[in-house]
Amino acid sequence: MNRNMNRALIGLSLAVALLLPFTLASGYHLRLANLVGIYLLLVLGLNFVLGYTGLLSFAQVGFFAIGAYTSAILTTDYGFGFWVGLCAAAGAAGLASVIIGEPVLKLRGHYFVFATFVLGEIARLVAMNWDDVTHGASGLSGIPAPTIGGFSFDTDLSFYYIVLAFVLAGIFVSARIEKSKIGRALFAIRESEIAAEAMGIRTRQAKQLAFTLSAVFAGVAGALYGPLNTVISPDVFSFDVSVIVLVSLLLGGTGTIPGAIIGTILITLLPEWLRFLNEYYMMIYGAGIVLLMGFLPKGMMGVLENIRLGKAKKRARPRLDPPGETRRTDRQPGA
Amino acid sequence: MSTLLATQNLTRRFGGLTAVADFDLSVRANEIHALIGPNGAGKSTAINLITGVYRPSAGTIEFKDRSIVGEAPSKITRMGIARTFQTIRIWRQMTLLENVMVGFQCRTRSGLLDVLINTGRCREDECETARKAQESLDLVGLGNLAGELAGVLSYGQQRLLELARALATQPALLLLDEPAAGMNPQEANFLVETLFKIKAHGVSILIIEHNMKLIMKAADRITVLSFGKKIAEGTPQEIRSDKQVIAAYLGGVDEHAAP
Amino acid sequence: MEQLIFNGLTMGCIYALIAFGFILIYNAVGAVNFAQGDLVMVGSYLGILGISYWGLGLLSTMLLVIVGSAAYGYVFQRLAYYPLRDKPTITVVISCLGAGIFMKNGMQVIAGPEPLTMRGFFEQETIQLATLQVPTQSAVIIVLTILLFAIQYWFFFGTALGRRLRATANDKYAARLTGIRVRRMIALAFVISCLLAGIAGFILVPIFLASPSMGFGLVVKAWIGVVIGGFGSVPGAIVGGLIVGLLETFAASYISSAYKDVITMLVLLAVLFLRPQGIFSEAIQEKV
Repeated sequence: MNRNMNRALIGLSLAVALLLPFTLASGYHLRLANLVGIYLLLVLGLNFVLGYTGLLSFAQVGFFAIGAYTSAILTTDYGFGFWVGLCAAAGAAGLASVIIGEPVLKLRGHYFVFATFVLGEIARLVAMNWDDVTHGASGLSGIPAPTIGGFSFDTDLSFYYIVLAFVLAGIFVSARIEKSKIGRALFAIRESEIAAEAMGIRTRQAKQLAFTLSAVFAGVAGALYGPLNTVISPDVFSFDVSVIVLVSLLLGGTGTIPGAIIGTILITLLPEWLRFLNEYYMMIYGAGIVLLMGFLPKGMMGVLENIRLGKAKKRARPRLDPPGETRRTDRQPGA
Repeated sequence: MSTLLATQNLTRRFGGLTAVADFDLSVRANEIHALIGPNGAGKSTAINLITGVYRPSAGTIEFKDRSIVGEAPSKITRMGIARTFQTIRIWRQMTLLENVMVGFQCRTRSGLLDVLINTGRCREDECETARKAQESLDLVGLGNLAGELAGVLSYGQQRLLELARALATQPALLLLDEPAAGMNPQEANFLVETLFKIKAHGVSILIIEHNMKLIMKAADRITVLSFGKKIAEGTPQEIRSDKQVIAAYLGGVDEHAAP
Repeated sequence: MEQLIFNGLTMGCIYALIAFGFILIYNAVGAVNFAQGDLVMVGSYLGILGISYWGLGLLSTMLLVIVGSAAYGYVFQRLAYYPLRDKPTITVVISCLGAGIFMKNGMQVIAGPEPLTMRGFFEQETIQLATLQVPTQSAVIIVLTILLFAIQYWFFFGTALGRRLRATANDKYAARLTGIRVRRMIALAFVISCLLAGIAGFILVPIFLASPSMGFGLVVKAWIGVVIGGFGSVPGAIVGGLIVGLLETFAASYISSAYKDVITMLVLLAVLFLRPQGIFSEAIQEKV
């Protein structure tokens, strides 16, 4: 894939994204597109933690809830504007990730997974039971749409561009990080944390950064979810959300931005396409996860990766002849 | 000659087992110092103690006249001590260049904000990092494979990659844990040449090895460990004929054998 | 007070059975089985099938549950674990997660989402134990759990097959080298695990309410028990499960029924941060 082809692809995708609302058949589909955008933020967030750093976290739904409730409470109960709510949501989720991250990121393997799972559940339970603040099971309603100047983005069409703006920002941040020294440090930690430590990387800080980024992304997603749905309630923020986010990333290809995008679109749209399956859909969803792990563990992007690795091995092979065959002394060993 | 690294009475116990006992070691500047001994002698433990992976049960470790006991491994690396591992720990899904770039990263200053805005500093750092990484790869002879994924390398090449990566951290002292394991004689010879080049660049080396030919050729001084205790120290010539060393390796001195 | 202890121990026994099965799988293949609770659910529905639909007697239904769960366990392992046995553990974890979703929704298709229940095993509602009036079903659960763990102990420590299974759990490669058929041992671990889960599901129905999504809440409690008791440790799983049962009951009674789950989870977090190896396990060090 050379650079020009990449650039063309990106340009094309951008054009499609900008013009999408005008090609969609109904308001329902537009709403779905908005939902894809919000889920994509969650998935991109998870990508920092699972994709780049290799930590399986089920905490996304927890930060999603913190973001959604923070902004909803501020905008409906206290009359603040959307943008204030959004900043507060991102800030609250980020702060939570720093406080929680301190002990949780020290945990290894299964312990870390459990801890993040529990955090997600605790967020839901608190939302359910803390009636004074979160309104308990009934949740909050009448969540206002964003406004800029006098214009209110209260239609699905106008709101789409707000969501799109944030999605593009999210993609930008992910891409910058992925190509940078920070991304390399996270990949190193994923492949071998001990080696990363030994190479001078402050692994604790790096993991915290990934965790906080995932939380901020989820917090923003939460703040956007409120106006989209106009109501939020605790049952939205169940473990199932974390599973959907995880499966989206796995299907598309963990650790890649195009993978996150493809996976999210597929997982959000599949229930629509397979609507005719009725109640069998969820069974197929479950079986699909098993099959996915069996046949496409690296997702769709992984297939591309394997091709690349195969080509790399082929290219390098001529240099891997045993040393006995080299006659000149200035050749590298194994070359 | 100045002392770069000095341990005194270094001891590490694991429950009832004393892996390293009262170990005094000093590595000088511009020296290749070998640490040898039978399996289980405590050599890797000593390296892990120096690099901060384990905390000593007793004793001191001083690097450039400063105690490094209790510091985190990443901090110790940034202070100037780099290492390779007995079990290879390269990052297989990254290219060779990326692997080595990570080594140099700890010497760059750009942070999150620089990355996000892509400031001039960030761009310069990236350029310099890539350049330094390429230099390191060239030094170990892997320069022309820089763009390949590390997973395609042969065993010996992987060891060299680890070496290049450790070098990229710009260390004053390099700790190598059995770098020649699994190498054939030609690869091992190349390694010795590379070690001399590294020494010429001003980096001291502490090397654990079982390959005696390599040690005899490369080392300026040798320290011998057995059951966690130092039993001999000196030049290769002295060690070669030391009775205690022979006994430790072979389990007894044969008076009729040639020295 | 004694009443609370008794109630706590009742649910504790169920959690202990689930946790034990969970640890069996973890020790055998290194994967966290997200579907353990759904396996319990299958047992519950087998029980309902036997008693409510086919009108079988108690013993016949128990036999049905045992045979059904064992067979189901074999199939589960064959489809969700076996194809992935050489892949990284995380794929197995996610595969089990998917299998659980499949089971849950499959049961919803078959039996509908409404919760079901059945009568207690015995006509008598309560029995007299010293000074206590205890629900008969609770007594059944506790007695049966003790019996099951006794059988497990005899099996693992008193039979050659059990020894082979323990060897496999300890070190697969070494086991293979001594001629043990590791594949069979792993299948056996899954079968026993599902068996215990199934029986737990069956005896639970009269006091709990069976529904396709009942597994989630149960497995979460079992996990908490496993961590408190010590991840990977078998006595830890049992003790941990009992502790969670007691903890839950006392929290509901003394603090608040609504927050009892939060409290249990906070205890889990406390254990994770202060002593992640739990009561019985040793902290694991990676070799450098």
